[in-house]
Amino acid sequence: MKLRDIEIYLIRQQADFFQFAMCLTADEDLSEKIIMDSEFLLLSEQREEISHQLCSAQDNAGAFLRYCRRFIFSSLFRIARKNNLYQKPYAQRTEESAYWLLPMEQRAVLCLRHKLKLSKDEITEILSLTATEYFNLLNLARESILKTAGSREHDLRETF
Amino acid sequence: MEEVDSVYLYSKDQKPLYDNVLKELESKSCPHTHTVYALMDVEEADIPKNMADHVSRCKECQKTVLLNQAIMGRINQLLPEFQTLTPPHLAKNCQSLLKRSEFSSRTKAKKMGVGVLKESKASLMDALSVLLSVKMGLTYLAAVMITLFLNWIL
Repeated sequence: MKLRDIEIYLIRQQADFFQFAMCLTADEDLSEKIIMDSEFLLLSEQREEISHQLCSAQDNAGAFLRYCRRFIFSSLFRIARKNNLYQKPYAQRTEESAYWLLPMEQRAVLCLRHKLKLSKDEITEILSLTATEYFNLLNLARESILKTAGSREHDLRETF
Repeated sequence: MEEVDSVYLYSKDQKPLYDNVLKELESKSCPHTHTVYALMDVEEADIPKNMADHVSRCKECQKTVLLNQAIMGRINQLLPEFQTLTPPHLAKNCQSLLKRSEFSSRTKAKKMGVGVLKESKASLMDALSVLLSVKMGLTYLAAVMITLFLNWIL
């Protein structure tokens, strides 16, 4: 594997990183900053693994690239949570206000599951959760967002 | 004790009764509904085949699936949408970060070049410090004196 492969892969994933960062921070500049920090963390914390991958001609390049992706998602979440990076958005749709009232963990799990369509295993690894914690958090987030937005199951039942 | 007449449900004469029983069974809530609800978040490949078959037949479970889809649709509507998909300079920043990293060939060449220069500079300084020292000057002087003395004798 070459460094160019990692570069191309990371550039292709920028849209997902940005969406996730925006879902956590609600600010473009902050999102860009934490994406850069996460990529820097990847290069510094995983330097041994990266240099090993760059030197060897193994076939598990895909797995390593997916690992890099998960690492960046995880770093984005860790940085945002540790520094409580959330700025209330200036303009928002009325429907979105329920989302911004949720705690950061719930916003993260909703974004990863519903927006980026990641699997359960990936989300539990990114957010360092057990399967039970993941399902609890996801159901709580769904319930809270629906409750805040005023959508009841009864109303939804009438839609079909 | 009153005797209850029992009938063969699958005979052609009992078709209305059979239909009524079937309708009654269908109107009752299915015992698998909770399982189906729990399986909504499971990956498609992990869903047991018997449950998938059951959902294709059971109307109650199909209702659960539809309700769940409606809930998911509503949640997707409530998630924020950002006008800017990706800022254009984000990719450039990533590229420059990787170029400046220790893994890029440019950094490696630079490091190697700087290393060679540093090494040669240190060697040169060593050589000069030895050649231009007082001790070395005295040695030159002594060598010249010995040469002149030998020339004078011979």
